[in-house]
Amino acid sequence: MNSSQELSKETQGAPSSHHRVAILGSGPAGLTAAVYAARANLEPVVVSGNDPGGQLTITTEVENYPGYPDGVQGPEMMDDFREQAERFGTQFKSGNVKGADLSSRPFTLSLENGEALTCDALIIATGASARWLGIESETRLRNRGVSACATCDGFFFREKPLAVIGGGDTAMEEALFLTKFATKVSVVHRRDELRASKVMQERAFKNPKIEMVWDSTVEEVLGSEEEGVTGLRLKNLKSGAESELPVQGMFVAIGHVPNTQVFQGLLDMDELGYLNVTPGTTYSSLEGVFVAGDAADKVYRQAVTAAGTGCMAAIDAERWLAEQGLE
Amino acid sequence: MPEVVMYTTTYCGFCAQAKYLMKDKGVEFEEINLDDQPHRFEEMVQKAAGRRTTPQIFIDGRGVGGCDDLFDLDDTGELDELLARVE
Repeated sequence: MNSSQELSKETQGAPSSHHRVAILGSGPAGLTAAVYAARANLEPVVVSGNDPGGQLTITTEVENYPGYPDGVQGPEMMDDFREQAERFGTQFKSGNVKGADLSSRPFTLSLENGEALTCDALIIATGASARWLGIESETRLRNRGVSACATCDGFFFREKPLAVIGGGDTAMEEALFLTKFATKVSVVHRRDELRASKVMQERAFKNPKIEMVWDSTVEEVLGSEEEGVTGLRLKNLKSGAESELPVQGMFVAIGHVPNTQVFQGLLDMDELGYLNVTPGTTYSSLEGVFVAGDAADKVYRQAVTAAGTGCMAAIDAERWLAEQGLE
Repeated sequence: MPEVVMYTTTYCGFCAQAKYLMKDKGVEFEEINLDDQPHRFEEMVQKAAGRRTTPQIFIDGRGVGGCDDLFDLDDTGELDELLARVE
């Protein structure tokens, strides 16, 4: 896609506003950047994106964020972040960026709804989104028994057998949460060992309702839009044998993709789409553009590291603006 | 401004996201939390033509679907049109 070409077409006559700092994304990275930028009197605007609050809004209990000794629910924590960003004068704008012209300054961004805005410095904190299996039956039965959020939909599957796909911490969290409702939770994983942390593995193995299905992938989600999910057709990758697993819900937890597609060809990124930054900083490959959070991080991917790099991005942007005489 | 009603559950991230969107737009809405009012679940399913997930959002009684649907409507600008309509 040629983002700048598309942009010039889209923004003709569209309403536009200028900001010293624009922050894309409203998860912990974006909102921490907002707190710091707002306190530096940069009057930032946060474009909250199509998943406002970010991945934490679809998380249950957050037990590893310092400052919450009793843990906190993801959405509640993001309410706190927002409140703090608002307190110092951050402006929030709903919408999603679909094109960017970074070839000259100020930078121009166009939103899906046709609006445009310009900024002197840009902080990209667009994060990452849950990955789906990508099979037709999964798309067809989404919200009819196929879900990527146990905490949202688990409630609707009382006394039913369910499956969780994946082998990481998120998959274990989803599976453990679902044992509160389900008769049985089958964790389907394509390998014969888990990527999840030891603590989460132990919790999952100890739970009598959780059963592991190793070396297997989902070939098809069975069921119809009327009756919902009725089962999964699985394939064992070692033996090649196919089998059916009778479940009434499938929860997908197989990792993430960075939300950086719009910057393809404009900024340096790796083969998975994670934006490159100068190590130890949040500088992207283009002057004036800074990156925070999961959009540049495939290693740590924690709320606290996202918040940390959000702070760094705001400080980097503030200093860069000062150097440019744009303070 | 039209009447906006949202059925939610407490620990539902997509409900939180839908609420953030409405808040960023300055739209007031009535929230029916099904954890507090479980007896209204069937009412939601009926109004939403069989959909059993939260959130379900209604603008002047018309179902616009869940969180993804709401954001899709926002991307095309239709949501603003629906919200601006004076009955």
